[in-house]
Amino acid sequence: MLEVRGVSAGYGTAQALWDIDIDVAEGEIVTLVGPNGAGKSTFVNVVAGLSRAWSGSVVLDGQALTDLPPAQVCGQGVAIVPEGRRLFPDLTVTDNLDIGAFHPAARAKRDETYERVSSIFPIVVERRNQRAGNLSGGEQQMVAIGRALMARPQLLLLDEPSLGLAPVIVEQIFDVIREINQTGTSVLIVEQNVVEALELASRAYVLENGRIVRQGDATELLNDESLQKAYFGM
Amino acid sequence: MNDVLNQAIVSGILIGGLYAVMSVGISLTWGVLKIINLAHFSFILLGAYVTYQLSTTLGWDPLIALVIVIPGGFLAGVIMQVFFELAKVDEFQSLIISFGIFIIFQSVTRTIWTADFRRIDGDTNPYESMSFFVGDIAVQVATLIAFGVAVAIAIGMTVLLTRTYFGKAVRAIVEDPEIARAYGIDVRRVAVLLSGLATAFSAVAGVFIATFQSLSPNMSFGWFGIVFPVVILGGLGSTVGALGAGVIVGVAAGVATTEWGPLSASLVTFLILIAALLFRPQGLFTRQSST
Repeated sequence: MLEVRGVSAGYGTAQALWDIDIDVAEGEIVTLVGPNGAGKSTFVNVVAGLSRAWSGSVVLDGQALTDLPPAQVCGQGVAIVPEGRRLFPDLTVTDNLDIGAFHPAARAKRDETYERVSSIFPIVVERRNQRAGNLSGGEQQMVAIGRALMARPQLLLLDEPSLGLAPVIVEQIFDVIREINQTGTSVLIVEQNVVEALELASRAYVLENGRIVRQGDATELLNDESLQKAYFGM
Repeated sequence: MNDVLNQAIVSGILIGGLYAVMSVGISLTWGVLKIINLAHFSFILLGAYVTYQLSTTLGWDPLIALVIVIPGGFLAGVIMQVFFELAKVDEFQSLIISFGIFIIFQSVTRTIWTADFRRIDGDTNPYESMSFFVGDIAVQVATLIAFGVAVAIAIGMTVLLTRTYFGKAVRAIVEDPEIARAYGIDVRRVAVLLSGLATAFSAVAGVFIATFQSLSPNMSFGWFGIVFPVVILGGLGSTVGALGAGVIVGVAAGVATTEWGPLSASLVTFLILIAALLFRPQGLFTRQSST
């Protein structure tokens, strides 16, 4: 479904990604793991249309996203849960969700999607009139995922969803991601929290210094000795 | 309290409505679009002169001029924002560039209408002399209507910003334009529409000024000392704040004029501006934004 081919990207003159190839199949959870500064967020921003690729292509269901302005990438079925959540802090929870449902196709089905999101995250109803900036980190992450779901994406892009959250909350969030995936949404999750991410995903890519250095079955990578040495200090 | 002071307060509240209409456009473009658009002063002035001309030449009731002035102001706002987008103007540059636009229109106005004072003739302008008494206090109808329009704008903008997708998009852009864009909001389109709306408000203020004041091109310089205190005190981008601050500035200037004479009014309004910047730079009517 998502085909990333030969993507290079960066900021200014500083290149951050070299020749990245990544696939996400329909209904799959794929993770991109790697240390801080490996280029993971740059990659997410390129897929979401927030940064331009220097070269290469990002294609979703035959449509080249790399040629579209960001406002249209969302309409093609990609929704981002950005690093640090980046809710609109002064807007209420409901308003944040409504921004998620902004593009015309999502807006037409806004009420239906809202029902679904509130059944996944009852918190969006309980806190509907509160300013998003007043929520706890875990609650904010739920609203951020809810906002992305309001866009009715085929592909959900999650950038470091575990960042800054207590382990028990991380577990909850990851359970929800699994649940969302089971209803048919493909997931691409970028994580520093390698173990959790590999346990969640079916396939994984390892990014180091802007290049894919390993890829394969997530369980295999989880049990791989060299990876264990590098990431888990075992 | 004596009658003179009561009169000053009531008149101050009502003229505060006009100050709010004069300020709301600048507040919106500054707060939302990060454009400090001094050209709004030109469109207040042009709104006033166009109203004067339509009334004088065609014998129109000055308020009918709104049907020309509102779309004209909207169009001007659209054109300016398209220009600012194309030129990729930032906040500071916008101040300099729009000051240039302001000066150009200043000269245009002086060329067309000369520096002489212009006033709509009493025959075509029923509002100038119209007033009624509540107890001992006179209420000028022209400022009362302007006050009503200010309230309507504050309520209308609040509804627009909180209840509609367009309004939510505006607020989302203020907080995080990049993420707003990622969710399908066309930031440029929203900016252009908002600039149109804001400039239309400024032009409307001009119509009301024409109903009860004599016009001269230089009067726009005096507005700086009213509009900036109102914009800062009300909080950037806050329409309700502009109304509240307009009333505060109106009453303060009115009372100062009564107590210490007309020259003290600007001193008081600028002191309000300085006090607002020192003690509450985010404005009286906005929450300190927190993430």
